[in-house]
Amino acid sequence: MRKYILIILSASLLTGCWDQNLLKDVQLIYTVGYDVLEDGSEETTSVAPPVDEMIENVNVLSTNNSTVRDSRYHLDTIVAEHIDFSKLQVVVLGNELSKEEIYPYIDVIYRDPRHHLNARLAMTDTSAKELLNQPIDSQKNKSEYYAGLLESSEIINVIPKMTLQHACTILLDPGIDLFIPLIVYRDELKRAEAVGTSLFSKDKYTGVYLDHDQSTIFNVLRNKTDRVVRLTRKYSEDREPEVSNYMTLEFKKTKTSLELSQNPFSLSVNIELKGAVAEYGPDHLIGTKKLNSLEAWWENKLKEDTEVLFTVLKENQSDILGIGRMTAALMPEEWNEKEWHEKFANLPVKVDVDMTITSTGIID
Amino acid sequence: MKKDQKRFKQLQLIKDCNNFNELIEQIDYSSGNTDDLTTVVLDYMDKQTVMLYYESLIDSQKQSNLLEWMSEMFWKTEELPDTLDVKQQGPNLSIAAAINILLSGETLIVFNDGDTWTITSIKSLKVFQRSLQEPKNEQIVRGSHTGFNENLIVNLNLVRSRLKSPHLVIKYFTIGSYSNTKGALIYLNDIADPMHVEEFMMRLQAIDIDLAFSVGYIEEFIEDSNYSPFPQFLNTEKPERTAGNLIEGRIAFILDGSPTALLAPVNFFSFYQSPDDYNGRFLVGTFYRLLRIASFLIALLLPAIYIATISYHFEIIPEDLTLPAKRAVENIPYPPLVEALILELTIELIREAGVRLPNPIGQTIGIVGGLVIGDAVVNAGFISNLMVIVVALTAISSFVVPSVEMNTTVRILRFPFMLLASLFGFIGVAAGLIILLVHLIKLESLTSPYLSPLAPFHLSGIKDTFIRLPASKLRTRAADAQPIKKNRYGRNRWWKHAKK
Amino acid sequence: MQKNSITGWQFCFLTLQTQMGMSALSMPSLIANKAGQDAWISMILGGLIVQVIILMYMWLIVRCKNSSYFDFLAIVFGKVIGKFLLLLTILYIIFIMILVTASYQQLITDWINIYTPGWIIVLLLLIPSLYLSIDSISLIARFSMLISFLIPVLLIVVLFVYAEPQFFYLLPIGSEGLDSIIKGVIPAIAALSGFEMILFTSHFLKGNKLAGLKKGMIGSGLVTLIYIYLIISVQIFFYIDELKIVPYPVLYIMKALSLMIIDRIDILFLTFWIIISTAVCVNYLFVAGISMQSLFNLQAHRHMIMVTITSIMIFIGSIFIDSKIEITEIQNQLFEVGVGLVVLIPFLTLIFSLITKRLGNN
Repeated sequence: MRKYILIILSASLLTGCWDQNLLKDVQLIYTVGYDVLEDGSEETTSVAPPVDEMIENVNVLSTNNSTVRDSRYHLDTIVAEHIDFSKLQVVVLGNELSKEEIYPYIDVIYRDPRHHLNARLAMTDTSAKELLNQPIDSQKNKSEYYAGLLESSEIINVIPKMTLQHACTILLDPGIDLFIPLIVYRDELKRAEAVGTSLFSKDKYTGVYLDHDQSTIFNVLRNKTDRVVRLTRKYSEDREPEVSNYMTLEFKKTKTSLELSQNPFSLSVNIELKGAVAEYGPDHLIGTKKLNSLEAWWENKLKEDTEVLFTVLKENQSDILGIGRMTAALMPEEWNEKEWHEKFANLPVKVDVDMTITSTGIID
Repeated sequence: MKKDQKRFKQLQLIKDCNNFNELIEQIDYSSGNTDDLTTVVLDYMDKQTVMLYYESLIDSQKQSNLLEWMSEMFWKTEELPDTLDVKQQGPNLSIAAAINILLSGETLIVFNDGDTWTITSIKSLKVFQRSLQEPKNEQIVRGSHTGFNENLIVNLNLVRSRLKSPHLVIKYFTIGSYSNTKGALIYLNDIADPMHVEEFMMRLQAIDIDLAFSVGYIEEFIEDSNYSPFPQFLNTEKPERTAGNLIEGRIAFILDGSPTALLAPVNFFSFYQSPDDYNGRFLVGTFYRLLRIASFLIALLLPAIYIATISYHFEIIPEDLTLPAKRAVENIPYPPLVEALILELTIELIREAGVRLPNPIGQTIGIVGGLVIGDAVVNAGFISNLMVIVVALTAISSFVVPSVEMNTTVRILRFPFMLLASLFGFIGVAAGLIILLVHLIKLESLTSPYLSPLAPFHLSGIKDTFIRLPASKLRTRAADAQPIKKNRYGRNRWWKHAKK
Repeated sequence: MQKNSITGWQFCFLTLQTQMGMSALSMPSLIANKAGQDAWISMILGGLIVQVIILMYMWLIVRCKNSSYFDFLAIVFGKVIGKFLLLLTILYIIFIMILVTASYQQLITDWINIYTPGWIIVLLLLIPSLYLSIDSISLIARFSMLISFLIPVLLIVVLFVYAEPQFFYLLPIGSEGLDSIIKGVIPAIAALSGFEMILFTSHFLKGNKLAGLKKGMIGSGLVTLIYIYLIISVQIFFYIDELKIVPYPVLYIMKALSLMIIDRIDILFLTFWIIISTAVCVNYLFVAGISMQSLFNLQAHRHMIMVTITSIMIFIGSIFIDSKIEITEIQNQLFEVGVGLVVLIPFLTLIFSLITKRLGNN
């Protein structure tokens, strides 16, 4: 009897563990890039962090197969350990790929239960393989570099945060278009830079992106600002040195309300900002009169910039603010899924900016 | 035939003996001719008297005084000294009864005045007892440091002097056909549930054993479930903890020779309470109560969760910790379960060795074992340093519980959890947890539910289990002992509101 | 006798647990597939209908007096028909249990233990359930009550959705049309199934029966409220087309969360959820046991054997189902039969007992 118990016990100990997935036996992938090649096949470039702390050596592996899944299995055949994407931090899409429908390429990430959906999505102006193979002159290892780069840029609002989960919702929703941060490699710095927000129409890249200033306004418009919103504009022309012509404002509180109205179908945008002067060389700014004129100047300037932003969006038929979603919810009679992008391109937009400057920093 | 003869002789009365020689012979025979049964025959003129006693039981100082008195004064006054604890025995004392008296540590003085036998017993039992010390395994920071010792009467005294109430009832029991150990059941008859008292008495009377070895041994004969890993009776060596539990409606049992009181009915959370909780501020008490409950979970589950995480679900490790964790386990040759077992067993060995060894050496072994082995196994690449952290944390947590029995229970229970974790990952741990939970729900302590006040749920029970409210708010007794008198005391601190 | 009875609040949580554990994780998608973005309205309607059914149960239970529903069937319809209806009810219970275990196994193998054989996972559910369900109702009710502490965990975790809510996804209200909303009511009631526990265990209630039944109704109402909360939460997180393709939306929400101390709370949450699933299994196993006792007129101590036989049957049954598609198919077909059994039979019993003026034993 005891013999049988022993046999059963040892059998269960040995054969159990069907799903065992030892941490020591996997090759974690932190950053992955997807590209599409000319023959239509897919190329996956994975960046794995170094396991030994002493070695700065980062594994960059590229495999090329017909589907994303295949490329992933292919990876397993060229590394010593088992490839694991569950700690993925950043997904970089190549430029060519972005011009096609992108959902099929990231579908595998949603379907696999081991993935976590908090990884960030970004794209680059070249191929992802090229970007990920570039040398990065950074103390951080390259596998974690891109996540950190995006995160720190998000904090100062120059790019929007886009996670895989959020992207999936947007891709399936006809009322909003995708927008993801654009990363460009700078040869002179030997580093990559998050240059702005790339605009998609449906799920195809339009080839146009918003720069830092526009991205900041975009973040203000969708009420997704992190910490401080910083805006710098040229306030005067003739001062010396050049730097004192510029004024920087910091806003701690911004609030945008978008309102749709009918007959004619139009959008009115109302931006409220409360902030302080962060940097302005020459003047004493104290005195209500001066502040009032300052506010008026800034309000006008922002209004112009916002209008330009809307023009860009409309020209590219990129409804990244989700006006379509609003229309579908609030004015279903104006909503037509198929014709929405044309309708959006002709949508009249009225912008109002209301700014209050409450302080001039700790000096007057 | 021989047995019958012996029986016959034991039932024989002392007065039926013809002379002293026959009496001595009878008693000697019935007690198996034991050598420590001493017979002193005193002659004075034509009067004769005999003293019988077990020299292994009596106080030799008292006895020599008695002998002196007997040889000098007794013949003059024919009276025994009134300073002694003298008891006149009836004339119809049988041999067997006489032996029982002798065994309880008394000296029999048999005086034959021609036809009549006069039998007197003098209490001269010598009990070697420890002084009252603080129990080693229940040390507290504040409050009374007195502990029970091995003497039943002393222990009863310690309890009754804390509860000087006519409602405190003590019932004696004699347990063990050979040891004839005396035990005492203590309860407050206006608080404790009579059903529980009856049940406890019934269980004690049902014991049929030879040697009442200790309270812990008796516990196995009266507990509700033998196969449960959880203790169903609370052991304490502290009189004030005993008194505190009696006032909650629980019943205590003390056995002569054991410095421990058995308390029932208790619930799971009783084992996580310490008298210290009531001696400090209530916030502090609450914090440490919660900490102890957390320590239970850590001691039980931490190695299992670690194994499940490392070998199944490392996705849950936060981003910044993944690489350090991976680096730690990268070159470990064994699967996590084996790794954990090696280290856990090492710790258990160190603990067991530390208990057996004399105090200074025990400490040294602990340090050598803990530091040297711990450091060496990590350096040798045998075991990951994360595992050392986990096992050390688990070991410390298991010693937090203020009850030795629960401590051992928790240490044993974590092994099946580790096994389940390594077989099925988190769902294995969950299945194990359910079985444990169901077991705790099913378990009873003296027929009252073990997991009270959680199952069955009593909101009022929470105030003195997970947390401890200020003493003035604990006006009702915990429901798990089902006390007859629900209210503990009236309204206190009324002056706080009266001042306005 | 004390051991075989439950208090009103225990009854409440017994009902709540049975309903909750069934389909809280998958229910939003199932309803959204029918009712689109008005799924939450369907849920409200479904909850109201269930409350009406429970009212009907209450009337019936009052007429049952101290007999169990299972015994009452024989009292009202006579031995043959009564036992036949009882047999149908038992078959329903066994079927629903097979469904519960199969969908549980599906969930686990989909989500965390992908390669573990299904039967092992079923065993991990059935063995602890069996261990408890062979015991008395009071212990089972205590278990249900105890694990209800886990439900707030679910509610709090889902609260993270409200950091970035998309209330536009709920608007415009009623856009899917009355037709879709009513179609959605069917999966909504299916998601709420488990309320029949009120009927099956009411004879264990001690004290004032009506007060106890009201507590059961509160339990069922709480489930409806929690479900409405869950549906609204997932609807403001997912676009409706995404919701339709995501099988366990609540878990998906957690998957997208990342906390400082722990990633992927969905895995940890699922571990807790297993405990709640066990409660469903325990409750149905127990009910299967007592109903079979009633069917074969057995003594109470045979309960253990009956429950064991049932669980073996369920084990065998559930290993034959091994794909999600089969589960959905069975769910769709079973539901209509189920409604027939848990609504129609009690209704007929009520009518019949009113006509024949037959009451249960005192």
